Amino acid sequence: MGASGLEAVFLANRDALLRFLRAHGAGDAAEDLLNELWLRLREAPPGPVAKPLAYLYRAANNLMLDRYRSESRAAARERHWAEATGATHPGQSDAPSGEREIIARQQLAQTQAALAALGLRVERVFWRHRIDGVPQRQLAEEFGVSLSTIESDLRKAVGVLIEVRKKLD
Amino acid sequence: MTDPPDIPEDVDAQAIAWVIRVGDPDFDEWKAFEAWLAESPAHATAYHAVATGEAEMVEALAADAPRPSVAPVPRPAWRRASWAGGALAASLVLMIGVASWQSSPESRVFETGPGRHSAIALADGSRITLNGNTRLTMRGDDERAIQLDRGEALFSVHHDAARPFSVTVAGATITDVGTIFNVVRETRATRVSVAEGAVIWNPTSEAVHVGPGQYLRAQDGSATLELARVEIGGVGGWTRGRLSYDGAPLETVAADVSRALGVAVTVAPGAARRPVRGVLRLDGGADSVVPRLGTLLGVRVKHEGGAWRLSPPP
Repeated sequence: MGASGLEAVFLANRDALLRFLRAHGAGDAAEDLLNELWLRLREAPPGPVAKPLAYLYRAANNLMLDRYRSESRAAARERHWAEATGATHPGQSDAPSGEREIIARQQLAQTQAALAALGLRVERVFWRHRIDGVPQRQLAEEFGVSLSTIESDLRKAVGVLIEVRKKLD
Repeated sequence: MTDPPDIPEDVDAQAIAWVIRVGDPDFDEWKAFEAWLAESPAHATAYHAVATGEAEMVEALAADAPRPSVAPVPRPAWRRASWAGGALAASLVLMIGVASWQSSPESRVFETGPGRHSAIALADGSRITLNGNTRLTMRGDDERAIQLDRGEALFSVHHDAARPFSVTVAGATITDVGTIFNVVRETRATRVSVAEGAVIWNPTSEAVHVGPGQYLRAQDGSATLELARVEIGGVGGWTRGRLSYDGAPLETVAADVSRALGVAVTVAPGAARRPVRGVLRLDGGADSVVPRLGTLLGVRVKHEGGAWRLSPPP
């Protein structure tokens, strides 16, 4: 299906996509966000898409994640700014980059160790899925386990990443 | 379409479960996902936090993996046995092998001298190209079971799921999944790089999948395998007179050059681990290639007694 076909599917499912954005917490911004989605599609139309509606939902989902990302970055910047000017943690925001790099390296090492502790299969399943982008059904065949085992492996891996991340914050 | 997921009670755990499901490229249950999001604003908040947090961690993990070693894959302890052990195991295999090979007189050995190439066309349409100073053995009764005894070969395999094509090298087995791949046996390591399709490294034990644009390096006795990216067009580049590298150590490059040109190239210990990036053309013979390597890498090149030696700059 070409780009114009995708636009037709977009228009036919406008209300459904709007509901999806609202469920994501878009609130009053839902209409604007849907327009943004429309512009993104027109400016950079994808190649042929096998499942146009699923493609649109994914694009909408990504849009909401991008929005969340930029909002939380802005919030973090404000927090750092307040801390720096309030001098409660003098120098925190401009720690020497070498030192920050060492801390980042330690955090990565912790993350890698935590993933490794989950066992060889979980770590490899996670890597194949998230780095190599192999679909879960294909991984089930590759590793000779059920799809629900793959899902449970991935849940463990993501659970550990989120845990490590919370500790770091 | 599929069974409803078993949804845990804790919101964060639910969010994780949805991040996994939605993250699958095949996911197509947006209505069910929407229904969960709509249940409570806390659901959307938790989903956003987990999805973006996870993505950031994955980005950091992927970026950290130093090239060329992208993903170290732990190996089962018995695989780590030092190569002395491996050699013993190999010689046992050989003793058993000799008996069966004697009953199969067509067992064939293909060998190339230093600096010579040779190609083998198999009955099924597969093709093997041998680099210089390479030896491989083919069992008479099975053209699709190859043993690489030393050197380097590029395999263009006609895939047949019923009859997998396998290459054994230094005690490891590589099985194809529809493939063009290159195998090199170095002094203490084996490298496999894939241009098309995929291979499985040691399918019955480590079962590491090596896909297009990846290479795997197994150092004898090491606790991990290295999985790295490789430029697809560069795989088997030696058959077209060019070698390309993305961070391989100089000693590997020196071994490749000696194999391809049939001259001895040694590297001083101080320069052996220097990473090499770029494409090296093999035309013009050793007299121009090796000095070119020196210029390219800023190492000192000496030619004495018929051998080349690369050493760190003064």
